[in-house]
Amino acid sequence: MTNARAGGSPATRWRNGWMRAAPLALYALPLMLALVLALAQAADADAWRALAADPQLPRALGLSLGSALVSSGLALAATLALVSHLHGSALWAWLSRALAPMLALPHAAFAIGLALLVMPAGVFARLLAPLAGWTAPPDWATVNDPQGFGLTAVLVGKELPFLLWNAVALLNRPDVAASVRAWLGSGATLGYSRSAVWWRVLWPLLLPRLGWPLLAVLAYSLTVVDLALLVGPASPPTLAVIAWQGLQHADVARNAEGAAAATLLGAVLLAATLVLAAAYRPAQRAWQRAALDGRRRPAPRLGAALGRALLGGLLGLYAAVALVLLASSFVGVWTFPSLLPQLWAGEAWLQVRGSASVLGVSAGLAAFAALASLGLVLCWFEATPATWDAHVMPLVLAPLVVPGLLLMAGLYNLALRLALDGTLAGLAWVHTLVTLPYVFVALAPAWRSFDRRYEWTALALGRSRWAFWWRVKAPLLAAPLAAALAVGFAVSVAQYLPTQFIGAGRYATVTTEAVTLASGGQRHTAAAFAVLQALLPAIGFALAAWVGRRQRARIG
Amino acid sequence: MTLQLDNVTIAVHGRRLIRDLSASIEPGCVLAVMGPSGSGKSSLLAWVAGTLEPPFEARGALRLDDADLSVRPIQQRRIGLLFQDDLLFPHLTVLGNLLFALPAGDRNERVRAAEAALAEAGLTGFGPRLPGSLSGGQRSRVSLLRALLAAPAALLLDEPFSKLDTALREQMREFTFATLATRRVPTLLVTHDEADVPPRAQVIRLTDA
Repeated sequence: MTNARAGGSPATRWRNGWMRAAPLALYALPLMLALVLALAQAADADAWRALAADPQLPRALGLSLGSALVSSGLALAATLALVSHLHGSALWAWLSRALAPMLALPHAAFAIGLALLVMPAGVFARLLAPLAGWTAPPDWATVNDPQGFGLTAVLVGKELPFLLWNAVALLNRPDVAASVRAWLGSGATLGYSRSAVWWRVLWPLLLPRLGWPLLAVLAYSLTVVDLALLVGPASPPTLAVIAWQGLQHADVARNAEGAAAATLLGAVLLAATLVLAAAYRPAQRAWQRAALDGRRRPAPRLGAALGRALLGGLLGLYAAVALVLLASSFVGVWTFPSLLPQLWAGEAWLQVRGSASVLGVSAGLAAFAALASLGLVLCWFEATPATWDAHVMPLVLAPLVVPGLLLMAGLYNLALRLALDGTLAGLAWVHTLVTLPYVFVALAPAWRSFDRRYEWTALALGRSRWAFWWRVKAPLLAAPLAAALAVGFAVSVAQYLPTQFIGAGRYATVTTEAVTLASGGQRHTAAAFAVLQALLPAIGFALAAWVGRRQRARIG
Repeated sequence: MTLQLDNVTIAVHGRRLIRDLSASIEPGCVLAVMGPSGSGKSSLLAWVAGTLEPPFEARGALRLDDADLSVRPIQQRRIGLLFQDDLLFPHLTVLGNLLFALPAGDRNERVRAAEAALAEAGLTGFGPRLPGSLSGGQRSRVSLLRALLAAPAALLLDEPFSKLDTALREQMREFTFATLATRRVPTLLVTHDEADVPPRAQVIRLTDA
């Protein structure tokens, strides 16, 4: 007895072989090598001694851990509250629709915009000035505050839409949606309100399925550099910034110290993850015991109001950030406490026009990274059964959950060995590596659930696999393909660390320019670059939405 | 052409679903394979089509006249497939679906052949329409026409009428089997519904393994 297809004909085996090997060789292998190189660089006793002797270390580590845990916790709590109180209501569709533009706004642009709102001479202070009688900016430490509150607030603002998007994607899966509907119905017949069913039954069951996004959020907030430079504490900064400064230093010993700090962050992340994972089971048991007390309360009005207020606050915040970025990029003279600028000007945009190459590099890199990662992901999907995805998921998600600094330090070492540092090719390749996980996650549900009977039908009609792929599969999946490309494009545009590390300062993008200018206090030009930074992905998402609408109009 | 199955055995995880099945389907004739869910009838059909995948294992010979098909990939077997869903490509018009199936050649001739087939099935003028705008019966007929325009040497039907309502089901059965008899296509039908089996068909009943 032989396997029915046992890998197919030699030609099929050869094709599947290289289509599986390409993503492994160009994506998985470099990632693993980079991690090994980064850890090797950090394996230097002197570097660890120097790090331990750094008087900034305890406070910097505390700031990193505190801002990461508090922001992730708050973002998770807000996600649970929003879903529990809005799921099934008329506002749910609003929430789902609003997530894409919120996600499209890059972190740095959001941080610059939020800083323009809350800084002492910002919009909020100007709004309060007539009431408080201020004639000069108040003595607020809302941005770059030593406690890291500003950084925490920015992280919550950006992590919340990401977690919500993951929750909405989970709840929109047909199998999950059907179960949730059934459980909510059963809960209602037993006399529980919808939010009570969410808190008592659904979240204890569904929360573990948000584990990967939660880990990604925790890893990001613990090791983020650009946001910490923009709105984080300065003296001492977070440990990620200390690691970054070390890795960027000309002195090799400081590089090793930076690598040690990045490794320490990785170890802290691992420890935090293990503690949280170990604590989850007992917490879940306690949660369920409390949930089985049998008390029925009427649907809490306060809860529904809280859901609406959270949604309104989130939408309002993003709208305000977008508006203030746009307005600030045209400001000429704007003295405090005037609510509107005295003079509008286009100087910031003239400066932007002078650096057209920056826009070209950003868009070119992003287009390449999105297309290359799509190509690699499609190779994988076309040459493997869906059941293999679960096995490679840890590798796919590695760039999201391994501290970015550690990965970049290793990739920089690898690029040095391959003479790719400071080259456009090296930069394009590393942007592809960080973009691929998002393209994979964005495309997998649609690609993997495509009805294989279409393929069999087309082949049984005597057509080649290529004809089927080109004439049937790709057109039918045009909308998810366009969406995955837009996601990849947006992710690449927003990259800061890879561009700085691998580009070795030779290539500037809208993101590196925005962060550099904002850190240097050039707010109006930084705002113009932040607008561009937001505009590029917005164009990508608008194109993807157009493809989706066209597709729906044609085939329903 | 005659479709011949010799000593076909299909197993999954060591459990034999079908053991040493042999059958011959003459041109224009129908072999109906019946049995409960899990008896292996769909696996048999997948093996004949060339789509059976691990963990299923199969042994046996599949011949079309003298040609051994079991070693050929699906696109070279010349065996058409019809499922319970019509699986018309929703982004292509009816004409586009039919042209996809027709062998390469002069475009005008291919369009004429597709339109003639539509006319024969009472669907004149339906070429420019998208499948989404057709009724269930019309879609089923287009799906059958598409399969036949690829000039298959044999046809496999996997519960092809099960999703149609009762009145339409009867109408489609008559249309399908009359068309297949006229074109002398040997047909393997998998069904659990006795009413789907045409009067002169051979019947093989599989038992639950």
